[in-house]
This record gives sequence, structure tokens and C-alpha cells, in this order.
Amino acid sequence: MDKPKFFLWAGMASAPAFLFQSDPLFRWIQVLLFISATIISGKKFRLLPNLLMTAGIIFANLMTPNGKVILSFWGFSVTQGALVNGFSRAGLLVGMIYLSRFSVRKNLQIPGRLGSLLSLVFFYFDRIVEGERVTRGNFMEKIDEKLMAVQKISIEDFSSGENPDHLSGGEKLIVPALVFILSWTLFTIPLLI
Amino acid sequence: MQSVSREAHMVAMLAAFCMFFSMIEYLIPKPLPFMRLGLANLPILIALFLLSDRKILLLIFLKVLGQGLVNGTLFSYIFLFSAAGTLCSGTAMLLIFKAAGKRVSLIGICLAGALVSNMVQLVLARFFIFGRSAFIIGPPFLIIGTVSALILGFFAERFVEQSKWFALQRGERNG
Repeated sequence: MDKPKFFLWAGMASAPAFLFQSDPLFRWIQVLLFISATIISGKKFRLLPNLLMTAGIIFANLMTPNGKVILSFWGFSVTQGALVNGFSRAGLLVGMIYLSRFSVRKNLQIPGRLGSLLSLVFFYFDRIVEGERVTRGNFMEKIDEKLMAVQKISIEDFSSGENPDHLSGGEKLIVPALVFILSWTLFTIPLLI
Repeated sequence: MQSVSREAHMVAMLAAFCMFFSMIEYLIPKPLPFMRLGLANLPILIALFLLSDRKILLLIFLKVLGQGLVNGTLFSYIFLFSAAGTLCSGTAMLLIFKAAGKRVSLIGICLAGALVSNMVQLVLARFFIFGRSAFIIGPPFLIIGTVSALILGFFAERFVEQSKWFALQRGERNG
């Protein structure tokens, strides 16, 4: 099995341990694991957009009260259930993004026609998420500009595997193996406590 | 690696945008877990003008899969609702577009798609979750679906009129 495929299989095998995580705290530890693995394997990480996204999800969930009121100000009630729910959902979204970014290497080649297509989808998704932020214009103009930017990526760019991963051969195998082992360990711990 | 055509690149890119919009939509809380605004349908509406029928169906399939992956619902019953709604509404939108062409605007196509999707999901909710009381949630569910489809359809209509990227793709396809 080549190295990009090893990353993909490790990521896919780790996904159930993350998706079925019952404890929000351990879910966030898994998120930190995926972010660390993404950084180690040479991809960019921006703190602010992730913080804003997390805050946005938690705030949106607080709009639907659920459970015990733990804080109340200016007529707005913060409920425990909504807070935990928002915290967990934010973790799920951020974690899935980084698990996918970690799992999909630039030169990933899944066999078969559907495999090639899926590799391409992941490739473009990575470019959309990782690419430069579009700040000018309204929502529609931003989408248009993003499409133009992603479109510039040529077919050769996809198949040549330009900007290869900077890890050495040994490290490349250790990182996904560790992600797999640690994410399942973090899944198991809350079940045993 | 098998050779990948230009159209396959377009399918993959639009599928990736479906995933991206699903991610954005995830930020918005929903009264029911399978209820969606349908923002991720925008690439499908655009694709009606740019891709062949088979490739549009492929895009719909990839959207369902991508949504399940990004939202982490791939292994849950929510995925069943989402998949059934998307597959039926996508097929309905494609059929209406093919049958009516320019006589129906994207707002109409979007409304029809939302109606089909919501009806399918209500029927599934009737059998899998709520039983007969599923139809109590019917009216608000359909109203929200209709309003969001109107907004998305209006947005899609403006997008195909004003987008530079879309004009470029259409020019290349026709030229």
C-alpha cells in the first residue's frame, strides 16, 4: 500500500471512533489530535476561523434552550444541555474537517473510476478549505471568486502531486498509525470510566 | 491513476462545493435533525446548465455521500432521511429542467425539489420516528422548506445571471 493510501485508511478507520464518541471532552481531545497530526504532516492550520466557527455553533445551539439554566443575562438564558450540545457539535465539525484534511494527501490515488473521482473530490475540498480566504464582496461574489480560484487548479496540478508532503518515509507511517491508535484509545476511555 | 476528464473535474469540484456548503449549513441549528436549508443544492442547480444527465446524477450521489461525511451523519438514521430527500429531489429537479427547459425558472425548480424532498422525509418520519403524529410537523416543515427553497432559488437565479465563473464555464461548454 502506498503512503497516501495508508493515510486514507488510517483516517477512515479512525472516523468511527470519533463519530461515535459519547463524551464531548474526549471528542475535543480527538479534535486536538487530528489538528496536531494535520500540522505535523505539513498542512496549514488557522486558529481564528476555527475559533469563530466553534463560537458560532455554540452560540447557535444556545438559541434552543435545553436542560438546566446555568447562566442568565439580559433575558438570555444559557442552558447546560444546549451548551454541551453546541460544544459537542462544534467538535464534530472541526474534527471531521481536520480528519479529512489529514487523511487526504495531495497525491492520493484511489483505484478505479469512482476512486479517481473521490480522490478528486477530496482534493478540491481540501483546496476550498485551505485556500486563501475571500474577503471582498457579498456572499455571491465570494462564492464566485472562490470558484474562480479553485478552478485555476489545473488537472496537471492534481496528478503531478506538486508540493509533496515534507515528512520522511518512516514518519509518514508513524503519524497515521498513531492517529488510529490514539483516537480509538480516546474512544474507549469514557466507556471504561 | 485512471485518466480523468474535464467533466469529471467539474463534477468533483461541484461535489466539493456541496461538501463545503453542507459544512456552512451545519452551523445553523435545526428544529429537526434532518431539516436543511438546502444551501448545498446550489451546486446541483448550477450543474443543470453545465453537466450531462448522468454526471448530474453522479453529482447528487457524491453530494449525499459528502454531506454524510462532513456532518458526521454517515452512520446514522439522519443519513437515510438526507439521502432519500436529496436523491428524490435531485432527480425531480433534473426531470423538470429537462422537460420544461427555460419555461420554469430556478426558483420553480428549487421549489419543486424542496417539496419532493420534504414530502419524502415526512413519509420516512411517519414510518421510522413519529408514527401518525408525523403529519403534525408537516405544515411547519413544508412552510420552512418552501421559504428556504424560494430564497435559494432566487439566489441561484441571480448567481447564473451574474457569476463570472458560470459565464466562463458556459462559454467553454457551448464553444
